[in-house]
Amino acid sequence: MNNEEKREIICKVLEGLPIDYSIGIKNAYVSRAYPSTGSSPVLKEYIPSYSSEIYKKLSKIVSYKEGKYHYKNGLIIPEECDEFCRGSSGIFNSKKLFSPIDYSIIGGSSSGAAMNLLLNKTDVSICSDTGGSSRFPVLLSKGILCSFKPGREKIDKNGLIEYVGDLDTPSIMSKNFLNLRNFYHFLSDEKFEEVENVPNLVPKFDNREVDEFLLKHKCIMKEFYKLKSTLYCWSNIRRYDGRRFGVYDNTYPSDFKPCPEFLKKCEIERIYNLKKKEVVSMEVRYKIVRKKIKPILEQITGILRNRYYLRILKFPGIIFPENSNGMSDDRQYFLELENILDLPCILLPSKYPGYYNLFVGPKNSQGKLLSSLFYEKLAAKLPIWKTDEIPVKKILLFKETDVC
Amino acid sequence: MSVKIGLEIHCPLLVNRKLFCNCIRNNSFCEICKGEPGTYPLLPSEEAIEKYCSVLDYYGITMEKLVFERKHYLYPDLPKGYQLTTRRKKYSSTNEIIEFIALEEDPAAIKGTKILKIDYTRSGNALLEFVTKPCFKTFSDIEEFYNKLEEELILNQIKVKNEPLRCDVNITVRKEGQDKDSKRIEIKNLHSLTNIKKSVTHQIKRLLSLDEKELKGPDETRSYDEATDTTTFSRKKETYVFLKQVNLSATNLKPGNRKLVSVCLIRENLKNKYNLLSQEEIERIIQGNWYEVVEKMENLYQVRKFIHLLKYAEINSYTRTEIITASSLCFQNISFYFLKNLLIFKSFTLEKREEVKIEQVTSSMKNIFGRIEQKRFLLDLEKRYVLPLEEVSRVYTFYK
Repeated sequence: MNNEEKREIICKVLEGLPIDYSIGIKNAYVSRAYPSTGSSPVLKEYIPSYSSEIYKKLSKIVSYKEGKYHYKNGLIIPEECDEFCRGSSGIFNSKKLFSPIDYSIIGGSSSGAAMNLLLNKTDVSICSDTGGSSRFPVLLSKGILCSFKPGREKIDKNGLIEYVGDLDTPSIMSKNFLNLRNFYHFLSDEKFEEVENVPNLVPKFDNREVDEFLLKHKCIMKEFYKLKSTLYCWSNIRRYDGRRFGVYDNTYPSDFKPCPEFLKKCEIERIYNLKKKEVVSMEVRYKIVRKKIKPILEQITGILRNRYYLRILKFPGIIFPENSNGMSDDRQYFLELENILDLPCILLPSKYPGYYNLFVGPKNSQGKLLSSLFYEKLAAKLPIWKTDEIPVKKILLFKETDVC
Repeated sequence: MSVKIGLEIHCPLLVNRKLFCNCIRNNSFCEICKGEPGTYPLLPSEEAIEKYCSVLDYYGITMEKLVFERKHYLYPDLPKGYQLTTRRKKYSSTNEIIEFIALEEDPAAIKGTKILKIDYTRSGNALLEFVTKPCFKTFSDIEEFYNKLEEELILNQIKVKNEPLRCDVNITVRKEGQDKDSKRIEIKNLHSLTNIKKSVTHQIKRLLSLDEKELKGPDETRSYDEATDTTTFSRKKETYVFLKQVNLSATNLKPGNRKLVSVCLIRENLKNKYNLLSQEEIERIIQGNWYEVVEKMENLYQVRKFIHLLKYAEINSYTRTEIITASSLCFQNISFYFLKNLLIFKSFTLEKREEVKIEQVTSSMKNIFGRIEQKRFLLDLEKRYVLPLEEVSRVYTFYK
C-alpha cells in the first residue's frame, strides 16, 4: 500500500465514509436499547436509554449495521471476563482467556478485544484502560498487536461504564498503526495535520534515574492506586445497584433492600460487602495518601520534563521507551503510574521492542504529535498488515459482549 | 435546662436549567438525572453558580473554590447511590447564625405507599442548603430567622415562590446539673413553620422525659408524622462517606454580579421616601407581587413616582420577563412609560419573542407623545443598546 492509498483511507474515515472495517466495541460502552452489562451480573438486566458518544460516532461511518454481535461458538463466554474493566492481569476471571498463538494468558480486562484481533474477527477494537487493561494484552501478544492509550479527556468517554472515573481512558487496539492513527483522529475530533521534517524518532535514553526515583516511592504509589480503585469501585457498585431497582418502570418495592445475591461468586462481592467502618477508614487513609503523593508526582513530572525534553528534536513532548518485554510486578506498577500521571502511551508491534510513553505538554496538540509519529515515520517504516490477509470484509459494527 | 437547636434549610434555587445537565427545571429528565451507568455530570450551570456566589457574598461566607463531592447514602430517591454536594472545607463565615451554604443537587421525589414510584423530574434540580450554627434556643428565634430568610430569598429571586423551604432540625438538650449535652436528634423533612414548631416542642418534651442513660445513647434521625403529631424513629444517625467527584474540576468563585438586598432596608426605604404606598402594598412588593400594585395605579404621575421609588429602594433583581408581563397587565398608556423607563434604566436587551409585546406597548405611543418624544425615545433605545439597530429603524418606520 503506497502513501496515496493510505491517504485515501484516512480521508474516507475522516469524512465519515464507509470503509471495509469491522469494529469491535467493548461492552463497557453503552448503546441504546441493547443490553450493556459491563460483563457484570450487577447490570444483568440493564438496557440503557442512551448511546455512548463513541458508539454514535462509529455508527456514522458504518453503512451496514448488524446490531450487536454475540459470540456463541464457545470461544469466549461473557462470565469469563473481568467485571467493570477491572483486573489488568486477568486474575479475576474464573476461566482465563488463552492466546491462540502460544496458549498463554492474554490478561487484561480488554483481553477479549485482543482475542478478536488475533482471531481476525475485527480490524480495530475500541477498548478502555484504567491500569493497563489495553496495554497488557498487547505486551503479551508477541509483537502482533499495537495499541494507543491517549491522554485523558482526549476522547469523549460519555457512556463508558466507569470503574474509576478519573483513570478510565478510551483506547484503541489494532494490528497496524494506520488504524490507530485514523481512529484516534476520528474519535477525538482533532484536526488532521501533518508535521513535516520531524527528525529521528528513536533517541537513546537512560531511564535508570527515573526508575530509581520511582522505586523509592513504589509502596505509596501502589497504595494510592489500590485505595483509589477500591473506593471508587465501591462507590460505583452502589450506583449500579440502585439502577437494578429503578430503571425500568421507575418503581421500587416498598421493602427496598439491595440484595447481594446476584453478586455471589463475583470478585466484586468482596468490595460490595466491605463494612461501612472499613470504607470510612479507607477514605481517611486515601485522603492522607493523596496529600503525600502530590509532591512526589510533581517531582516525577519535573524529572521527566528536565531530563527527557527533546529540545533538539523540536518535539512538543518527550518519549521514553521501555525495552523489557513481558509482564512483571514493576511493569504493572508503571502501567498504573502512567494513568495517574496522564501519560499517553503507544505500544509498538514487532521490530520495535517494548512500548513508548509520550509525555506531552499541556498546551501542545496531541494529535499533531501523533500524526507525525504514526504517519511520517512509524507507519511508513513498519510493515503494514496486508489487506489480503484480513479474511472477512463485511462492513460490520458489532458489540463484543464478551469483551470487558 | 438549656436547649440548642440548629437548622438545615433546603431552598429550591430559581434557575432555568438543572445543575448538572441541560434539562429544564422540574420539566424533563435525561440519563444524567436518572444516574444511568456511564453518565458523567456536565459542568454546573453558570446561572446557578452566579446566584450561589451572590448568596455567599450576602451572607458573609468566603470560599475560594467550589468542589463537588459524592455524599453516599442508599435510598430509593437517589438512583446513583450518592448525592453531589459542595465540599465543606477551606471556608470562613462571618455570619452570626449561618455556618455554611452548600450548592447541591436535589434527589428524586418518591410517591405512593406500597409500591413506591419515583418521579425523576425533580432529580438534579439545583438546591441551596443553609446550615446554621446551633444558636437557637426558642421557637420564636427560629420563626424570626426563617421568615426573614424566606422573604429575602423570594425578594432577590433566589427561591422558587411556589415551592416551600424544606427544613431539618437538630436538637440537643442539657438538663440541670449535667455536664454534657444529650444525644443529638435530627428531624427530617419539615415543610412549614407550624410543623417545625410542633415537632420541636414534642421532641423537647420527649427528651426531657428520658433517663440519663437514654439521653447518652447514639444520635438518632427521626421523622415527623403530621396525622399523629409525633415523631417516629427512622434510623441511627449515620456517618457519610465522602468521595471527590472526579471528572468535575474545581471552579473558582468570583464575587457575584447581583447584589442581594435586605428586606429591612427596602421596607424602610419604601416607607420613608414617599407616602405613596400603604403597608399592604409594601408587603406585596416584598413578596414579589409588585405588578399587582402597579396595576391599580391610575395616572402617569403615580407610576413615575413608583419607578423612582423602586430605584431608590434598590430593587434591581426583577427579571425582564416579569417587567414585561407586569407592563402588559397595566393599561397601555402607563405601561409604555413604565416599560421605557425600566428598560432604559436596566439596559435590557430584548429577545425575539418579546418583540410582539413591545409593539403592542409602543402602539400607544402615537396617542400620547409627540414626534419629538418618539424620536428621543428611539434614540435612547439605540444609544443604550436596548434594541438592536435594525429593530429600532423598523419601529421608527412603523410610526412614520
